Amino acid sequence: MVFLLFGVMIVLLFMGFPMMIPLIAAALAMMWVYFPFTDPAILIQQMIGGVSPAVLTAVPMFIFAADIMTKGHTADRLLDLVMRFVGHVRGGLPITTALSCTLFGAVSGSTQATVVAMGGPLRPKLLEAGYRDSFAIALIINASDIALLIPPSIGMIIYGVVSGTSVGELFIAGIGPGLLVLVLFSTYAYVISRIQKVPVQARAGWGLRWQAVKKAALPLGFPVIIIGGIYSGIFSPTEAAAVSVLYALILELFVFRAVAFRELPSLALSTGLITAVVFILVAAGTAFSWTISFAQIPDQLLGGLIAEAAGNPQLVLAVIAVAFFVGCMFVDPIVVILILTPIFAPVVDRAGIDPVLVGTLVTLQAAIGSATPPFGCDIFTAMAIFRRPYLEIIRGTPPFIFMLLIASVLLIAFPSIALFLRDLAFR
Amino acid sequence: MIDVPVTDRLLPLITKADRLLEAFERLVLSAGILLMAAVSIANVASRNLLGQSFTFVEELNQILMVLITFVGIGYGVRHARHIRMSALHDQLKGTTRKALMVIVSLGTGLLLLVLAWYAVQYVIGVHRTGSVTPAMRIPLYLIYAWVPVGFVIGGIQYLLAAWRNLTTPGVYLSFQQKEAYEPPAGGET
Amino acid sequence: SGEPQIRFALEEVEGSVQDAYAQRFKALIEERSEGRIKVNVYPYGALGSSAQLTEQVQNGALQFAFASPGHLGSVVPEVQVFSLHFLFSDDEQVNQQIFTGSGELKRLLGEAYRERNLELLSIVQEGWMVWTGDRPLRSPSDFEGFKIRTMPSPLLVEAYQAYGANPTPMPYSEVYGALQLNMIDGQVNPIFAIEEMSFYEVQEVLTFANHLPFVSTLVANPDFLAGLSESDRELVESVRAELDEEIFELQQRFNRERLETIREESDIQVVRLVEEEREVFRDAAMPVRDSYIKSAGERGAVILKAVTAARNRLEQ
Ligand code: NA
Ligand code: NA
Repeated sequence: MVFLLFGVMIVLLFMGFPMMIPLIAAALAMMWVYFPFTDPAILIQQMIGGVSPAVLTAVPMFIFAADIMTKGHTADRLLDLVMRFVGHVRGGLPITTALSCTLFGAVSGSTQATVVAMGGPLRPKLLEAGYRDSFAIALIINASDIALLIPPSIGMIIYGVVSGTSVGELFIAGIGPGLLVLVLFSTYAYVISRIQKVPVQARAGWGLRWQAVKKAALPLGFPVIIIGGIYSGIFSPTEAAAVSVLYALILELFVFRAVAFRELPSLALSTGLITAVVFILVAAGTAFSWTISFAQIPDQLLGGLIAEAAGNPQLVLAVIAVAFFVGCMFVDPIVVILILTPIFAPVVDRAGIDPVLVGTLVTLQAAIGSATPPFGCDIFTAMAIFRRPYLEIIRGTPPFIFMLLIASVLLIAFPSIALFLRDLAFR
Repeated sequence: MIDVPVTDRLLPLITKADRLLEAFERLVLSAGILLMAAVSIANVASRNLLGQSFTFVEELNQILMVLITFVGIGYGVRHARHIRMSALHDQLKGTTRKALMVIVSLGTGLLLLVLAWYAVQYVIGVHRTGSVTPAMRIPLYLIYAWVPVGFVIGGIQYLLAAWRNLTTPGVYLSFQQKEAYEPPAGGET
Repeated sequence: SGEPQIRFALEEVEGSVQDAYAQRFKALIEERSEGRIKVNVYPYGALGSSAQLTEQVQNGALQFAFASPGHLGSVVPEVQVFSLHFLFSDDEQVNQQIFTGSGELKRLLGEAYRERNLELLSIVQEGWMVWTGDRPLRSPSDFEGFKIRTMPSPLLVEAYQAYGANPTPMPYSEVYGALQLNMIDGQVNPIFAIEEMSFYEVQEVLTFANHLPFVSTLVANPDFLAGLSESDRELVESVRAELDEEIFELQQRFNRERLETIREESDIQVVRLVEEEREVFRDAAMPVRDSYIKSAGERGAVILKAVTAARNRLEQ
């Protein structure tokens, strides 16, 4: 059974079928071969059910808010702010890149929107300053990972829905690991600029800095609204998504006047397209995952680990991290979350691990996977916007993956990196 | 944007029908997102300012998500935006590359039509149970009926892409979209 | 296709009343059929939401499942009788007789289920629905402006609105955080859920109004039952009847123990309403019964009458 299910999936996946097909075809094959008396129409039920949870509304709403702001002035203003304050230190430009991606990550729920918004303006600046292109591109696509850890996060919304974990708690727990990655990348940037002897930039005067602060003040309201709103219980994560759309509209339509009313339908169309492409994967992944449960495959696969789990939470976390890391190398992180989360659920339960910690670790792997070859949505986005071939895009990634793995190890060893802020808010 | 070979008399007709369908898909995606934003914002405002939640908002949003997901299949094919792992495909050249494209398009198209068949069965089943949404009491089968429609639209799009690849030189990612030299493969999340 | 296999799905996680039921059911069936009939139990989350489980029973993918009225109301409107506040007795024993006896309720509901391709096997009590809040809820005036999280079932929402509360829909997983951050003032659930989700850590008062027993129904796929041999059908029926009693006592013990745990781990205040206080709520919630009849039709009216009559008779 395991062989048929994963065999069909892997073959079709590598042939280059759209990712929903390997999932659905494998599930259908299982139904036809092993459950001939069960109506496969049940898979349709699961596909529809997969995209029906109310919490998922937050996904298109956060994407819409990010689309509006990418079109408008928000990204530029945030970038400008960071540049004027840290641009002049050693490694200032790459540190600016990491920090800007983190800040934009507080606005955007996906890594790709961040690659587009920050990669466009920053890569020429990095090249001009004398950094190698392989470093510049790898930095941009990996720093964009931070957007998945800093709230809002589409990965966390999906994990929350699948595992029945509070999305609000996951959001808050992602901040610590996000900042950890930021620190690691900034340190690396500093070292690289030393080694490559990149000249430092001129320091911006306080007048310019003050100007940048004023211009960025309103965009900085975003994290305040999303994190502050959830922290203080004014609204749920789903509501925060709606509020962020409202805030983006007020900012870009009325205050900055960077987006016109008549542009909204086409922005909504682009959001709708991204949503459809993501949600059909959620639908197919849910059907696949149902088949796994129905055939009781988790018991077959993880029986041994379940027995070991109780006394050894760190082993369980390590196994989970490796499984998600490998899965995310080849398949879209959302699909990996949909499939692996229910498989590991009994183990997590038995080991008594906080599901919020698991969610944060899983999201970190999803973030890493977005930029690791062979399949990485950020790699493809970078290919599209920088117009560079695949191999050139991924050349500089190994050091970043290494740092992200260190972050994973630290998170497993010191769960309070994630749970400290969560406990402060919710316990 | 498209070079329609005049030799084929069927093509203009299909292209025209295709354009109409595309307009419909654009409407669903665009209006769906705008409506979702509008009611969600109104609901937050109402809950915080008036202390009143609308129970129908969740339901409406769920309906919109189903519509966007399934009607959006076709639009995703059209713009070659469905997420896939193209590592192997990208290494191939010439006829092999085209052949793989045909197999993938054909296989996907047929499987989507199979799914459409099961979806019809499912919708008939839901119709028979008479289920309705809790707050607005809309019959569920009316909402779910868009699922097989979406599969059929998506399936036909892939079959058209296969046909394009078989009848026209060059590699086509979709019926209308020819592959650029450096393929912008993959999609967005 | 060979020996019968029963796939049995739960709406609750391991360690719950439903899980206890299913494990006993599995043990008894497998033992008495000498391993011929296999029972696979799927805990909540494995195969989808409650509504999806019911559909999987209708469609034959599952043979058995629990289906609770909260979601089933949109498929079988008659079952919303279990959402009507203060309709049932405040004595669990009386309600147990109404649910399991040879009374009208199960027969009438059974008809309604059968029309939707479901076989109603048992009505299972899981304990009282209990209000938790930042204050005691002794009268409708205490509910004024009270933001309460409840299932989005229309009749429940209507009842709380009738008390003056603001029912707020919210996913189960967000409730703890929302209580902690005062986004909502309270919620309503049976004791075992309040203990399991640790809601008592972030609430001041448990109010027992005994307004509603938390009920789930055990359903089966009719074709599966019809396809069983006579002796197998009798076996299933005898195990079911046996478990009706056993699980009733087990759930009482479960809820008693969990309440003890809650009181040990917190200094939460426990309030029990007296009949005069319940009376005020009952009057306020009366109009919801008209909504029930509107939604459940003639059979609904008959069910309502039958329940009231049975209750009056048994309470004598
Ligand atoms: Na983010
Ligand atoms: Na990857």
